[in-house]
Amino acid sequence: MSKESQNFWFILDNYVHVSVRGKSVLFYNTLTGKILEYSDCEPVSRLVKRLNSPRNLLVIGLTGKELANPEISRFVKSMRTFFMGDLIDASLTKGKPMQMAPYPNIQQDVEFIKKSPQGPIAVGDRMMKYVAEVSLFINSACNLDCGLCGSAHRQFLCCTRGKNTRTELESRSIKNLLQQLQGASLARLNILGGDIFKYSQWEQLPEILTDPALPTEKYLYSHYLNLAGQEHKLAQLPTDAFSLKIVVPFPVKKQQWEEIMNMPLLNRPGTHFLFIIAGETDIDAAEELITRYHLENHSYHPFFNGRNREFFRQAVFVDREDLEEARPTMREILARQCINPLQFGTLTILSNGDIYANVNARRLGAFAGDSIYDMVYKEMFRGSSWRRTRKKAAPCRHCTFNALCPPLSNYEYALGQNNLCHINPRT
Amino acid sequence: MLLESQNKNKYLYDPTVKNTQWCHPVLYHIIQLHHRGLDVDQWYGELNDDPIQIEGYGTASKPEIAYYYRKYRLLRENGFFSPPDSGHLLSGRLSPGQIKSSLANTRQATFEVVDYCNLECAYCAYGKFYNINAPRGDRKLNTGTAKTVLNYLLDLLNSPLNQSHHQVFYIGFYGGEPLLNFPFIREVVAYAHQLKPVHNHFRFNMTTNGLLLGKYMDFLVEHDFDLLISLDGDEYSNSYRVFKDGTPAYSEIIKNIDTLAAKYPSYFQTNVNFNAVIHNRNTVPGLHSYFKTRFGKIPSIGELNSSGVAAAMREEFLKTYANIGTTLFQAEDYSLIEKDMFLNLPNTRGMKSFLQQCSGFIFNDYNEVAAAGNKTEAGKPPKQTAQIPTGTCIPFSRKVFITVQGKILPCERIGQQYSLGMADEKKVDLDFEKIADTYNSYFDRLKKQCCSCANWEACLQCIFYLNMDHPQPRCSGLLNDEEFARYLSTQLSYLEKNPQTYFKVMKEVRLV
Repeated sequence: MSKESQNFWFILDNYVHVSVRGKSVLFYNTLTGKILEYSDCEPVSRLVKRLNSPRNLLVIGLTGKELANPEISRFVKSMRTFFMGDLIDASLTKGKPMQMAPYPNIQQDVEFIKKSPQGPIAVGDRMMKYVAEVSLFINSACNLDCGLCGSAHRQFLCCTRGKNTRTELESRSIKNLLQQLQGASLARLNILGGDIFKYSQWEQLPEILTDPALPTEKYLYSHYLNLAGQEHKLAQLPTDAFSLKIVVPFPVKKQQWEEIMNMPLLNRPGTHFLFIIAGETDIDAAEELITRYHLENHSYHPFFNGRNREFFRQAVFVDREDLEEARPTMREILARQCINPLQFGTLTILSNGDIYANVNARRLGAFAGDSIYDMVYKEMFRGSSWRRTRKKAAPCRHCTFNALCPPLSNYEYALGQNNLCHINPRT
Repeated sequence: MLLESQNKNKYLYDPTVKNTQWCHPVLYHIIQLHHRGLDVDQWYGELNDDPIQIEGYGTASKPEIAYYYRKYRLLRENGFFSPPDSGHLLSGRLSPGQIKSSLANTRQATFEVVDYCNLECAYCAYGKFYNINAPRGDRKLNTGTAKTVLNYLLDLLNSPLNQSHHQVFYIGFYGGEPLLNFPFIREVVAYAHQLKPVHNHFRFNMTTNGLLLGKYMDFLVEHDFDLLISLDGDEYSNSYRVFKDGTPAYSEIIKNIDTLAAKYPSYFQTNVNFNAVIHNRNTVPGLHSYFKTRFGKIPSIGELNSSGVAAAMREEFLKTYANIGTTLFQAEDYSLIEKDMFLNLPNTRGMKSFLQQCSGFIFNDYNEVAAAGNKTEAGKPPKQTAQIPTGTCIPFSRKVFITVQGKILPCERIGQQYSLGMADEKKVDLDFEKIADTYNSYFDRLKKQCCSCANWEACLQCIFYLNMDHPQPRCSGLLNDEEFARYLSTQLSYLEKNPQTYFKVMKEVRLV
């Protein structure tokens, strides 16, 4: 038999993520991180269309004649070289093989349920199990006047002062909330201010923090300048009931910093420094502190102040190499198509009682008046934060890389653009 | 696990990474060596340049072997071929809190209104074919008991243990024939309307043989009941459903259904469904055609229960018994029927279960997706949490069933000897600790078998269908590697022939 008349099966591996946008096709091998891109290659586009057809399940027949086409031949060779696909003589089998194509099916998919009112389940079915993290801004009082106040907490977990009025969450309401969350899968509770040490019901915190229904991970956030002289207040809290997160913007005030460094509480296990970084000099300053004071637990949090877009372009925006290095797995890719893994299950309650799934999105309700169930239901139904994915966001939805990129974070809100990348800056 | 389809295509199923993929014969050969315990790296290192003979492929050259050896290494480095630790993964236990929470989240309370019926169907679960433990006769459930149960459940439904909101909670009426005690139904419905659930709204449903529909349809429509009418098709198909004197009930039932459809057409369209039993006097195509043409409905179809059949009646039972798959595949217009009945077919459920187990692309809920989205250590499969052995539901996760005697069961389909508690007019007696202990002791007795079962991860076997009264119960669903491989191969072969079913299941099937 001549090679031209021979028939083959071409099989795409199902650990390969394929993304098609117009005439562009991207193949990403989730086992190796290798990315292959084809633009304006009509024969490859046609093959991919056939591979993706429900009739074909990632397997198509190729004749020797088709394989003689240089573009197809090169494509098949590349697929084989990078372990993304394979070719087999069709005469070795009695019929066409199949591959289980990566397509996510969530049995309790809200979008599916919304379209099928006859279904056995509803949007609110066991939804409280999704609440995994709650952040309570217990007060707004603070004597500091940081430049980042009012915006940093919209980018990452950080204290924030009230604008005009001083507000507080009632400790009774907090206890009531935690009571309502008994059925949730709460894994983490964050307590932030203002200056938490100015919370007028501080004496209620031990009871709140030791509630047996609470998760093991509980964090108290404080600006380092507010920590000075507060050891007696911290001592009122059971030592193993929380970990301390110390917020450090730059430049640091040397005298107060030294004072903090001499506090024995720094030796508490789990004490963590959050360095707020607005530029290269802040990184240098943070590194110096880390080295000089042997700070083991720390993290960097880039802060967009409206003037440092270039710093973000260099330090935060992702490029193709970042994605290859991050090597998202197929399961991560599937997850990112359905939910926002960074935001799913989180609730934030500001000191004025406003509740959000994300502080940058629409308010879900008010702490005092509305049931937490109503608010979780609202977010489950509209999904504007928990299910905010690149697949739905412009311009990323038009980009073949959208499932490989990190989930949308709060930085996209802050910078006013979703494509924080160098891949398709103009998509 | 290595598999081969009827088309002689080769596949690799890896339970640890939850992936099934087509496998080139040379790679298949290398994985076979791995499974036989050979050190593949050493084997490859010692290979000379001679080609080797591979079954089902022919001669493989050294470069070919080198290519598939690299692919084998790639898979191995990504967590493939690590055997799952079934002993650890099946070490899950039920806790009293979990059971209480399950009851606080249950979707339905079903009352066995009466234990008697105005029909005497030949195949009735309480009829001649079966070994009956508890004789049935003339008992009615007490209204006070039902009210006590509803009060008890309301406390739980309104508690923070309830994770749902705006969720329907069904109050179900079951029998015997429930309409034989209409005053009970009327009183329970009136009582339920007075209750104030915070997170749920009550709806009512009923399974009925339709004989008393004529008399009570106004009430059922007024209270927006969801009705499931048992009917086996046309007159001949329905001929096992007879009165106590043996005369057929078909014409009377049909008269009532027609009246309901004519008097309340919109209700009939939205709230009425049919349930048919397949046997030797009907077929799936016949049922499909009958219900579609006559009522514009697609019925649910069930098979006769083959467990608990009395030895003396086995032969007659087998004559009566029919299998859905067999009669469906014989149909000339199979694809049309399959399209219409897709979600109601048992093989759809089976295919979903298979794909959930083998593809790794089906998740129960968003938490499972979120967990999947967590970064795993390079080369390590995703962490799996311990599960309870067998396919038994967590008690009350779907419903709570109350018998005429006030026995509390997790489902109406299991023997009453497995009652988990009692209810009467004064109180509900449910000891969650005792229930957890009972279940865990059952699991302990079965765990050894489960650990040796190749299908432990996707098991659908309910413990209450096994003889748990026996000191060493034997699981009828136990599969060894060979049997399991045969099952997987059958499913893969089906998908090779019907590839569109794959996307249909992935896009349309939600069975939680």
